Amino acid sequence: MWSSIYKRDLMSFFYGSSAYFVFAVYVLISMILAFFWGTYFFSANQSMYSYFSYQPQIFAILIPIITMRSWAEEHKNGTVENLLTFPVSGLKIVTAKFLAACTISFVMLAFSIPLLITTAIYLDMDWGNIISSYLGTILAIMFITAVGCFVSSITSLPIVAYLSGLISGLLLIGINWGSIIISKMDNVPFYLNGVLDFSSNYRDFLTGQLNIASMFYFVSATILFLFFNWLVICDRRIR
Amino acid sequence: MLEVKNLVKKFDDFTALDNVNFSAEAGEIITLLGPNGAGKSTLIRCICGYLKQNSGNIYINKNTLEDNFEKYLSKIGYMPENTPLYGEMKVFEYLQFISGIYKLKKDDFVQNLQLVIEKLEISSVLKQKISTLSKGYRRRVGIAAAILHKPDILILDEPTEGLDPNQKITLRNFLIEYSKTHLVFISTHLLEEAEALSSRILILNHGKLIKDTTAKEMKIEAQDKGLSDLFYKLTNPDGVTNVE
Repeated sequence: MWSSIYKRDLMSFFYGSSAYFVFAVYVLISMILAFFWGTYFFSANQSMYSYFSYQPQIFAILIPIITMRSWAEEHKNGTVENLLTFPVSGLKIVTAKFLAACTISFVMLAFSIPLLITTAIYLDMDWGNIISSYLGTILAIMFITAVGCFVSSITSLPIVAYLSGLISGLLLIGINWGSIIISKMDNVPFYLNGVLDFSSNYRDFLTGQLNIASMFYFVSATILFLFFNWLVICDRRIR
Repeated sequence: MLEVKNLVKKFDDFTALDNVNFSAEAGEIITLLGPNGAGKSTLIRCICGYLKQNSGNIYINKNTLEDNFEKYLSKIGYMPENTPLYGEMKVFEYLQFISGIYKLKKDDFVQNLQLVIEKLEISSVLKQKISTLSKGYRRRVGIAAAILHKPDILILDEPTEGLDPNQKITLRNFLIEYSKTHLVFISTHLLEEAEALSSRILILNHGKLIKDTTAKEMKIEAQDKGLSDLFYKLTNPDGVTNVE
């Protein structure tokens, strides 16, 4: 049953001290970037913009620590042979591992709630924008996790999985690939500018502009990388 | 119960399994014997669905993996070579995880768990982390996980490798008992293992099934020279290629 794999993967992260280390690093970096690098103290933060604006970069650094365990460690320890001979479809295994990794990141994101409550005591919050920012961050987490899981599935060395996941994540979110491709093409309608860029789609959520196109961007990119992951895992298998 | 027909597995240009054919029923212990690199693990991995064959079919109760993989794989209990397990888990947690995978009901899990604990003598390590277990206990936990759902076919890759003589005997006795009502399929390169356990011996060499025999028949064929000599003759001859 896929839920057993989900639970095992989730719990395996908490067997050692790595979960607590990652959580501590997340809180530390998030606060430093929001308070000292960002403009948290100098602008009215009704939407916590300065907190959420750095979340993709932070998760791009931390999520590969989680996803490197998903597949690379299974390959390294040989447990992948057990896993792939269980009566569970490849699709369910890939999804279970992806959801376990996402859950850990969602727990990390939940560490922002005390800051939200504290801010809400002093400011009149823009709750619509806050919900939109959380939704955008959740979708970004899913996208980065899917990339990390895919990268982890193509290597048997966890450290290689981490570094590849880190580089791929930073490149995907840091460079506006969509704009680069579109700039090379002729006669492209103006409204396509930024449609394929991570930053502009994420910014839509931070500014409270919930739109289907941005949601579709993150969901489809997540599904695409999960599909790649499934292809790699099921390469050997029939299903 | 298990039927392998015209099985071919290639890794690029290398043919790991070359037209392998055999069938087996419950009540048998089949030992897959062969020198290193003969294709034993590849054959086992194909049967368990870990590797996809290039051609040929494998049937379990007349179903192939493609027909219904869930039904097919739930009939198999498999322990790979070197017993890969999740070291960070405790033995009980691991067995609980396995019961979840095979969707065992709580009562069935408790009943089967008691049985495997008793048969494999693992009660003393239930609360121990797998990474702290000795090789013998690790192997027993691997087998416990493989038989927890009472599979029709138990497949073990090199199960006694690295075990001390007492552990080997305990394991052999268990396998003989299990084989009374199920099919047990083990791979080994140890002749004495095959002799002590098997009702049937399949000898693989260079990916070909070169002999389908019994320990008794092998002894008669070996005459005074011993099984080792016969095994050497079979696996290093000029031209023994067909199943006898």
